[in-house]
Amino acid sequence: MTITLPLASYWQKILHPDLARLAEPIHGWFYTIQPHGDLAISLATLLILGFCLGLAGSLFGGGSGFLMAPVLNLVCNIPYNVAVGTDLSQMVGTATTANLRQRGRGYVDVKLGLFLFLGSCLGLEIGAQLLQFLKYAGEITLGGRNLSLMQVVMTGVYGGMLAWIGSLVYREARAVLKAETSGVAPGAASIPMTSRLQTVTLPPMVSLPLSGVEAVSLWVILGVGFVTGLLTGLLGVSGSFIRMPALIYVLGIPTVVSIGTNLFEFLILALYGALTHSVKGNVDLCLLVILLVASIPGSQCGVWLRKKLAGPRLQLLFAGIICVIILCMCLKVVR
Amino acid sequence: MTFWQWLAAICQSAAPAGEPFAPHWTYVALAVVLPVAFGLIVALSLKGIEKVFDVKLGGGDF
Repeated sequence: MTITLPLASYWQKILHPDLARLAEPIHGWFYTIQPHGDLAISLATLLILGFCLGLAGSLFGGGSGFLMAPVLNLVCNIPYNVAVGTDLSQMVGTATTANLRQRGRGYVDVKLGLFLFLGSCLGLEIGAQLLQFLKYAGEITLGGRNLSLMQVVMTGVYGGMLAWIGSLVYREARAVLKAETSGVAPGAASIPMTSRLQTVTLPPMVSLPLSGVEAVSLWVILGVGFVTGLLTGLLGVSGSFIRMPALIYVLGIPTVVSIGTNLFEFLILALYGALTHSVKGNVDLCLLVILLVASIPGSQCGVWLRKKLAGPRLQLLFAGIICVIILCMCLKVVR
Repeated sequence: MTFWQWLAAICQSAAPAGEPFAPHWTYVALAVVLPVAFGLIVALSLKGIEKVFDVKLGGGDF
């Protein structure tokens, strides 16, 4: 059974005007571009993909959010803007569940959360506008083929980010394996930026009594928010893998407050992200429902598997999956 | 009209073929409300399952 995704089809025809005049269907492995350019995707593929991405999110943890949009583009040929917008809207659901599930387990520093949101909001809007610019930037010719500029740029950005995350995960796993064989505990990663950013005294300085921080420059909080917001708006990721270490190591927030504040801030940021991306037409409601439904059982299986398999070998597997995805993304652009 | 057809019709009304995208309020509202409602239902369902079967389920991270 195949389904036609209305918004994905619409933007595909905008990105590749030639498809609107297509006489014969183009068959991919898991999708078909029908005459007049409509994108039909196998429902089973989308359900399996949603399940696997939910599973990866729970199984591998930080950084796995970077897989969703490139995999949707790679396997189902969904334009990046729709993949990012729908992914972000889907994250509103997971953030709502996470906030309700974690309620009472961690403190929420509302003042810090709102300052972070200010920076994130600006970053998210700039990220979404960048995507909007790429959407209408037209096509470029690469190796005799016409490719949308958005496809090329987003493949490069995702490829770079995934390569960075993959290398971090690989190095961490290797360090743990090395420590296991030598019997020496792995040293804590050095964070040279920490001490430097904590000494920034650029006014206005704000105090965060709930977090036990006497004075911190507002610009540092806004900066942390801006960077994560930019990633959220452009790539549709939660940015928690940057926000959480930044809250703990850069701002010196206690871990229990960081968890609660991170969840709170991301929920309001994701709501704003879903709103702004939907106004720009980047959310496909049909795809959204499929991803929401399919990712839940995947996420629960991931939690169960993580208890059984957690360890450096699992991280090496994640790094391997990232390598394969980067390779496939490059092949999609050049073939 | 099924739920699925209704969703598709809302998407198509916001993005008519050959015309510029014009966000309808129902489309924008659904993009925000649908995941919130879904998240609420999932959280309540997980809590219910945990109480009935005395198990610990995930769903606290994203």
